Amino acid sequence: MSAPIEARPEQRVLATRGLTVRFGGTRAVDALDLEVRSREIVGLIGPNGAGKTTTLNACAGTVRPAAGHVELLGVDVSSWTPAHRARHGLGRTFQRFALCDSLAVAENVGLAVEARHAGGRPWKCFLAPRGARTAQAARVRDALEMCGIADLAGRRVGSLSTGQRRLVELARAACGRSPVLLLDEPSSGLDPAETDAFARIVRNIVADTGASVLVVEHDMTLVREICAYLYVLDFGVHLCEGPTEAVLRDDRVRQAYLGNVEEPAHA
Amino acid sequence: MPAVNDYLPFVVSGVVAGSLLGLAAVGLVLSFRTSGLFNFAHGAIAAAGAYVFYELKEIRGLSWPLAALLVLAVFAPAMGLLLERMAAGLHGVRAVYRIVATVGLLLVVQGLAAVRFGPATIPLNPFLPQGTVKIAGTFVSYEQLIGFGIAVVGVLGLLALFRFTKTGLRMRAVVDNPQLLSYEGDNPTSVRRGAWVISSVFACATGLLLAPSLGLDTVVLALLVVQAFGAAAVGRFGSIGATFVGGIAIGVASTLSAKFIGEHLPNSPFWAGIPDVAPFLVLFALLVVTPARKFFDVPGSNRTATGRAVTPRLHWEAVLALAVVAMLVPVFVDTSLSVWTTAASLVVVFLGLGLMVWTSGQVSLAHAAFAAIGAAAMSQFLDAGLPWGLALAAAGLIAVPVAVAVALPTLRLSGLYLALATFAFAVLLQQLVYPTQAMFGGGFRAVARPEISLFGLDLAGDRGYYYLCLSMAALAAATVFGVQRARLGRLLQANAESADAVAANGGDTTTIRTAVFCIAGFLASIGGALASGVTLQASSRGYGYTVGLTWVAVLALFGSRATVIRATAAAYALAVMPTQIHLDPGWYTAIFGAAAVAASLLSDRQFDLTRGWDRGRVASRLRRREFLPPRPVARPARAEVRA
Repeated sequence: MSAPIEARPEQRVLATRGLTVRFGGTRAVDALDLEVRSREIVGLIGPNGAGKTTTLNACAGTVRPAAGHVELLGVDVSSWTPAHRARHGLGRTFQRFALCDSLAVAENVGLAVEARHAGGRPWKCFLAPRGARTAQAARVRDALEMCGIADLAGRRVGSLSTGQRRLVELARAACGRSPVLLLDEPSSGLDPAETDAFARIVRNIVADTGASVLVVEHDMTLVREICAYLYVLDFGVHLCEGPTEAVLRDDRVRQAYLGNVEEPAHA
Repeated sequence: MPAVNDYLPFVVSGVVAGSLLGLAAVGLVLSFRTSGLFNFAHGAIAAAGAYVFYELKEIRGLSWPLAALLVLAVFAPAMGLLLERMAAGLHGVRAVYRIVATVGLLLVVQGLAAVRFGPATIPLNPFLPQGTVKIAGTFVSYEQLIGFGIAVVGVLGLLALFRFTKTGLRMRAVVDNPQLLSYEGDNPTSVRRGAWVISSVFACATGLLLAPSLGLDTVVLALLVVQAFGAAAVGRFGSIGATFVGGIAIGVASTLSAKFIGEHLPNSPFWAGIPDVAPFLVLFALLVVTPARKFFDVPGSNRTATGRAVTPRLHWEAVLALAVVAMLVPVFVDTSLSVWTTAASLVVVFLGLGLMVWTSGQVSLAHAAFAAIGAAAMSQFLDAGLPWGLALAAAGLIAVPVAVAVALPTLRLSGLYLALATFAFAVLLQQLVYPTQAMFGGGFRAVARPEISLFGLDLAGDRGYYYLCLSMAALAAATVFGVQRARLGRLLQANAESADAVAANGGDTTTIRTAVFCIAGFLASIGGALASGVTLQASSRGYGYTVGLTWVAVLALFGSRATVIRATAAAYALAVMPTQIHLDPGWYTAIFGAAAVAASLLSDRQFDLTRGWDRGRVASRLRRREFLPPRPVARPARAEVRA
């Protein structure tokens, strides 16, 4: 199934303006303008070293841009810490997992609620409004069910497979109920069946929670499945953008990234 | 210009002392960069070298050149090789254990030296030729000249090694990427071994050259070479040249400030201490102002995954058994009840330390300093007329802003730098503030017990005070247990394992870490205040920086789960055991240190003393003679020899 090509939604939830990131002498990302609109799944693709993950990190605040701005839900968050952005409405997953191996799956997912609640105020590590615990448990349960891993709730993350860990990270991002989600190469380490399931879950999350998603991805099957709109980067430079099918047919994109591959048979 | 002439001798002696500091610091940085293990025992190695020299020269009657040769050519390289094995064994263990291990080694050296040579300072007769020469209008002794010359030659030699030889090139490559070097057909182990040997020789040379002017004293010598930390910070724990220059700059700053303070601010114990702690001021200031990314971080050092459940469970049977035993103690012991009271107050201290080190993964080496703050504050608040309970609470609370001030600047860095900063803080406080009226005023301060009777028990009496401390310990245990089960506990655990995860979900990692440091400081302070009530006096004795190190080492011995049980066991081991089995206190220091080293090495249960040894020695030699193709890692060395 390919995402239907239609006009992009009006409301902008995440945008970069002239985003430039330098690592020493190299420009990992060069003057990138990018927009994610409300309830839209946007893909960020490009060859290795194109600056995709760097862009994602700059949006999340873990990388300091040399120039440019990041706008989240209509607010310029360029100078904010990652935690501040997360509380403002940004959730993310990591290509290399950021999970706590010795904690249970439910505890890892619950971190999305607990860390947001505690934020930068230490006393909130102890205090919570009445009923917070049950509300949190319900949210965690919902997120786990949405990702189809409710049966893993009590397992320690250290004992899980890569595919299961991807889902735990996704569940955590969903549990935070952020309006904007950043997914960093969610299919890496997954087999085709797992990738299919993952695509279905991401679409469900968007349908259920109304989140908007920016996803960095290499797997064109997944990109085709979920993304409505694509940005293509090459050596940190914005190569082209547009609705998924149009971009994947573009000659420049084929040359820079896809090569002259045939269309997958099932597409 | 008379002013310049006045200061010139101080500049000269500063350059000389600083160059020795720089030499030690260069060794420290070299081993740190090549193996990723920061050697807290670097100063202790220097002290050990000086002690061996003393043993050989003064006790065994060897001539000084022979003794020096044995120290520098046999003892120091042997220590270097041993340290390389230790660093290899510590590869990939939890960051906490990497710190605990070298701290344990420091304790071993200090303890053994105290056993063999006694705790007092031993004067070491000058052995280098005496006499002075006039340079630039100021007299410089031959000793100073030789020391300076050795330091300069050592560091220049190292730089030349880096620049012109293959070994040096490999050393630089190991610093950058050990994995890559082994792919290229060179053996990182042999390179690391070389680096540790050089590091150890530099340390021992510094020890020998400094010993005649300072005397042999583990604490002073360790402290002095430990000041190399400051110089290493100037080189951002990476640059050899900058580290050496930093050492000289610190030496000059130290002597000049001594001159200035001696003239303008005499009779102030606080200011008199400044020159000694100049390197620590530098270290602390640099840790605070330098951006985090400029500091070298040990790859994989944030790995804390134990794979075990950490949320503690309540073991009712254990709690009940402990409670019953603790309640019955006064029935069975009589005169030595004070020991058990001290143990109970130490439990409070260790609970905080356990929460910090083992739940949150942050090593604080200044815990004894916080206990000292509590003891001093308690006596002062009681003097000021506060009722006992209020004074205790205030003594605890006063540690909180101090903890914030220490922690906040360094928590953005990795655990190693927090350990360094807390270590610096502990030494600063001990040298600068303990002797002032603000704390102990160089003597003893009276501490009273509460003049209250509860349930017919006089709390000021020995038995009453025991139960008071015991209930405080129980209260603290319940608090820590609660914290671990609560949101903060999960956040701490999550933060220790993946700070990225916490930040990406909106948790402010620095705030969380600061919070736990505050709790730990509070508990340490309360514990110190309670302990001072045992002897009815507070003094700087028992709160030296070595004590802080010992506490961390002892706590490391009791497994990584169940903070409450761990803290209780550590407190009783430390307080009660020495009163039951009478040994030289040095033995206890050494034993606790050695046990901490062993616990660290065994923490991932993969330690193998022989791993990498054959391959390193045999294969690299054969390769050098071009018997072997440059590919040493794939097959074991013995197979290659046969081929």
